[in-house]
Amino acid sequence: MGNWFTNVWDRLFNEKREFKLVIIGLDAAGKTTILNKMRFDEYINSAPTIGVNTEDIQVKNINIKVFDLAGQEKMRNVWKYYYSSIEGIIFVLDSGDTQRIMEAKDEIQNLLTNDEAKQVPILIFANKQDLPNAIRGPEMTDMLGLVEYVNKKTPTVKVQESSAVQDRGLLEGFEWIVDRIVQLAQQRSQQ
Amino acid sequence: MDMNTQTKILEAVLTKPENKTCADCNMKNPKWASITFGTFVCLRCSGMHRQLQVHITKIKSVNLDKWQPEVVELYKYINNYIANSYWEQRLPQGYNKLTIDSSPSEVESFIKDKYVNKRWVNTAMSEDPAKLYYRSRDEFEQYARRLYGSEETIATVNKDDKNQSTDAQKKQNVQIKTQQNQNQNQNSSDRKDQQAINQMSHHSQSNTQLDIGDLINLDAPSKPSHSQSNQNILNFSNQMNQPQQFIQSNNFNQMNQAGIIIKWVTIISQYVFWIEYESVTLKNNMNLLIQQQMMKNQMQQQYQFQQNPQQYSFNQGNMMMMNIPK
Repeated sequence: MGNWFTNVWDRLFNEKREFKLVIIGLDAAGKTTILNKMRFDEYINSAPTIGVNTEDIQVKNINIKVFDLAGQEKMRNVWKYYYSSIEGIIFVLDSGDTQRIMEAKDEIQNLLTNDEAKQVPILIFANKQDLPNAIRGPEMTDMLGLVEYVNKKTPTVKVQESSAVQDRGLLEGFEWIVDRIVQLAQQRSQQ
Repeated sequence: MDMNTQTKILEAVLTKPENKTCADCNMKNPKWASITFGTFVCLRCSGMHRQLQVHITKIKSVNLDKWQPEVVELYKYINNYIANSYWEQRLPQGYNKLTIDSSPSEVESFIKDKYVNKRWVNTAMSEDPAKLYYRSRDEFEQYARRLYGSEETIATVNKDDKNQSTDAQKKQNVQIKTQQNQNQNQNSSDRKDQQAINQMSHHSQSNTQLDIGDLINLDAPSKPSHSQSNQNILNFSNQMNQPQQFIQSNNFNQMNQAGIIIKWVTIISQYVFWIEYESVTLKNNMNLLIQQQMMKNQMQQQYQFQQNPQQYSFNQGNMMMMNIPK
């Protein structure tokens, strides 16, 4: 019990701590590849994730535990159980798969209307920018209906162009979400 | 299409002997599908397919994904053998196909050669069987009939299998051919041809209970609704007499069970992570405690030494004597 209390205390007020992030998105979007790129700094060809895949990574000297969830249609029901115990959400999109953008939009709208997911920053990777027919970032925000969220004074949603194969935009995205998490925690402690 | 009927149909399709192994390697019981080619593949090969991006192949899971109804319809007719008869038509006999043990680079080069470079494709055809099916059903049926009907095509494409096949299978093949001949002689209309094709594609599955005819009836839109409801009532009355079967056949119960299992798995996994987290903090605390204990011991020793140094040194000396191995 004492341990639990110190944990909670550390989590709220101690700066030395571990963040927890969750990576979600439709199947074959590149979630596991992004995580492997961040963890091992190399491109690994991965098979479909079954269940959960966890890795510890470091961004700006902060330890982050990342849960990489499977994106198949039945496994999407599991996502919402993670929202209560994490500090940030990363949603990965396949920018080359133009037919399923609307399916992804539905999932993002579900995310934005979820009570627990609303309170944490959401980073959207428009992944696979190396493909020739990829949709670019601004166009993607427009298609997903996120313009009003992105243009807020202190936005909690960001669309980041990325390519895990070419190592483009990954670190920027992770740094943004870490900064946002720290800012939000400071605001809440002040209140 | 309902998820339950979809899984029923796909499980029945997976019991076909042609679909028992992965389309690219020799792994058994494939549970993933490349819906652009109409094949079933294993987990490892599906990973390589996904790397080729969606404009070449799309991968879906048999258990975890919802499929479009027209794709499920395609899978009733196509199988790994029909698809590979196009993609691997010019594959040399002694060529080492993929196995479970082959390395990732081998898998990558084989699958890229097969689908992207189209190295062993049947050049007589302009498109693969799945596209042929979407363009015109009749031509696809003709193609399938030629494949299963004439001996020459089977001999060229399926030589290795023939060498390994047992006597029982040969007998079955003979039976099928006779059946085909009968069908071809008796019927000329299109519907009958469809039935013949279905029987052909199911040729060595004569022992199994499910038939393609039953499958098609599962989601036939032409059935009037009131007859279905009557049937349901009849079924219900039958099921009430046999309570065990009723529980087994009730789809709603199955869905509920799956939901409960997923819930519990997530709850348990959360607790597992929590315990892991807890154990790390416990270890840190234990280290702190040990350090504190060491400090205390040192303080005690110093205190004893200050109180009476002779006694302390005597004790220490004794301890030293005890420790000498002689």
